[in-house]
Amino acid sequence: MELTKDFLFGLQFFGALYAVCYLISYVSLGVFSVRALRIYNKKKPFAYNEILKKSEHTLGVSIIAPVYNESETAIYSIKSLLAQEYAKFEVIIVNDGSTDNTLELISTVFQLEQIPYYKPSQIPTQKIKGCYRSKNPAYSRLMVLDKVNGGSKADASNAGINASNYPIFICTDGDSILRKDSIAQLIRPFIEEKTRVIATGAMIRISNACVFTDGALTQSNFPSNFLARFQELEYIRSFLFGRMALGHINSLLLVSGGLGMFDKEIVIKAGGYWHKSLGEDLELVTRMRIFMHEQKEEFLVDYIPETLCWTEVPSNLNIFIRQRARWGRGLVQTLFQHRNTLGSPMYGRTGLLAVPYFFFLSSVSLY
Amino acid sequence: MHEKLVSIFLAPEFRKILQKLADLASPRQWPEKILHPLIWTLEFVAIPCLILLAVFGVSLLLRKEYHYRIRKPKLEVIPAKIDLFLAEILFMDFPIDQISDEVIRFKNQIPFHRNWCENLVLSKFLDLKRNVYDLNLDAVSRIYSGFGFENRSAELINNPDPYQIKLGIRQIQILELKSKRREIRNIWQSNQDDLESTSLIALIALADNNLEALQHYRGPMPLSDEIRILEILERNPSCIPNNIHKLLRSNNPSLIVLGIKIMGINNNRVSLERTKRLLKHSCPKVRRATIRQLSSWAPAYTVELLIETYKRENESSIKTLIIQLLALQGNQSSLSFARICFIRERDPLLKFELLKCIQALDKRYFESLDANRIPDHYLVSEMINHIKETQ
Repeated sequence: MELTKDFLFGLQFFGALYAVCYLISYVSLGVFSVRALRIYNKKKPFAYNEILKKSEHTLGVSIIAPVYNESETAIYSIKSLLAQEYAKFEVIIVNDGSTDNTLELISTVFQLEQIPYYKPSQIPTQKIKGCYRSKNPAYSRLMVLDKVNGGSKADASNAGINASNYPIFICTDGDSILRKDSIAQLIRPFIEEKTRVIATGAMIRISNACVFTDGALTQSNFPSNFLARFQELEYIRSFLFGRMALGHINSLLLVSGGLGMFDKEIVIKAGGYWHKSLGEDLELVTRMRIFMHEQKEEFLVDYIPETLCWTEVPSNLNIFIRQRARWGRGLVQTLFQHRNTLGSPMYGRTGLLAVPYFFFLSSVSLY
Repeated sequence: MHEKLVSIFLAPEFRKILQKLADLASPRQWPEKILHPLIWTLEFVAIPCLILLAVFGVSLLLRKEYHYRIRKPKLEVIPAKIDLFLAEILFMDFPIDQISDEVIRFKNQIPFHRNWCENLVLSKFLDLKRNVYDLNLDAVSRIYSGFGFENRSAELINNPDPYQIKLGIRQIQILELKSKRREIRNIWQSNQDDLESTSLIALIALADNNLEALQHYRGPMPLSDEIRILEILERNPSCIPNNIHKLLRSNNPSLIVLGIKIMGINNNRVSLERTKRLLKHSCPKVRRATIRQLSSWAPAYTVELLIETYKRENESSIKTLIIQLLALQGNQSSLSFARICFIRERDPLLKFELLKCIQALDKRYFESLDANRIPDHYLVSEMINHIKETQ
């Protein structure tokens, strides 16, 4: 009895200490976020998106969107991807062995025809069954790959990376809707910074109650479903307090799977997405950071504090719990996988700031 | 394992640690002197203050929202009014001498005395000037001074805040106030990181046939600056100086690349000797930019130079570019070269590109080819199938 009491007192002490650390860290993150936002707002009047829309001198970008049984949302999503306002880009849709009519629907709407496919695989993936291009010149930027299901989004994304023709790629989801200037916004750190930028991310909002016409947002509404509302707030907290602040101090470990832009060369050298990972987006950025530290090259992982992507979130409790549990397990798995970086000065800010933050504040708070 | 855990848990050392933690954590152990004031502060100061703060914050937000909703219909009309006025005055051949009076009359129709409104007029005016070429500069200048903006850019560039200086430089650039070039040059020469890019681009935009500022540029130039400079020069080729060759002799590879691209825009030629030297440059970016210009610089020697460069090149991406150019501009000698290389090449990416090149130059080549005699023939057959159908 006495021992239980002692234990509970100890737990109470730990809880109090943890809560204090948590609050202090969030206040600090808040301060960094405000600074980052100020800097970003000061850059806004000097934006040159109009030039990026038409300049042939800019970097080419491949947009990769894996789809799996997404016949309901894929068409809108592809239209939003094709409507990007940027001079040099291509859209690669990877049908990851869908068992519904996703591929047939895409083929009909975009008038696809099969072409033989070969591209040297720089990252191993499941077999490509077919490659399709549109007969309609209006969709000349679109390529659809049909592959054997690899059991993960990572495998499909890797197939898209292998097929891509440009040095930078965006990875998004088949049910996400992108703002028309997403590429122009995300590419800016890549072309502005003198230090090599390996990845950029942006804010994602919830599309559950929004209205879209031809792949473009026409009306933004607050979700009516309780779970979706909760996630709307949670997304804002996570993006505004966590990622913006961590991006400001170059300690961002997570570029969301919903929308992220990456340097293809570094991704390939780091080995691409790990298909066994439960949180492949977090794991990839962590591995890319580790790779850059090991190469002793300076780098940046940047964050754009603008909503560039809308995505559907679960409005059903079971799916919601499943998704959160997967994210949590993915976080723990990644941290365990790269545990040697924790507190190691060899890995710079990744080892001394980013990994400890995710370990002590994100993963411990899960429990 | 279980027993081991239990033994650790029951160990006196562990109990001692727990006890210590418990003593520290439990308020029952704290002295009265600390405990009472702490509870009093929480009860009568901290918690009421937090509640008041929350109520105050929420009421402030509600008040703001209420006022915004009341003013919304009015506010929505003003941008449209400004757009209409600027369009009328700039595009309807308005008599120049009446512009100032019209501007003063318009200022009374909107809440121009409010800062937000003044900023809105200025930003709309700048947007219009930036997006519409060949506006009557006299009319622009009269509108600008009519609204009382003439001193604004001067005030901005003399401000100690780099952000304000950048805004000032941007205004000068958009309004093409060439008289302010000296001030911008001084800012550029002050070597402030924040201002370097903005002032350089403004200097180039305002310069007449002179890229003097570029010659003193140090360090690598970000691609964003390069894109913006090229856009200015593409839009206004009269800005391109005759002595652009000087950039090619720079020690800074970024400037050489920019020089090559500018020469591409202007269809300038370079001597064969200089071209060969650029193709052997240590910086891959310079080599890549030169390769792209080869067909216009040395049309008679393009294939020969491409093949020579391929043989000594180590960068895979440059080799790929060379093969792609050979496919476009190739002749019999490039076909023979591609055939030999494709057998020897180990890198599948390059092998693939070489096959594409061969197919582009000789559509019948694969018909007579016995793929079984080629190393990695399964891979090659797969590549050939892809190429045949896609080209």
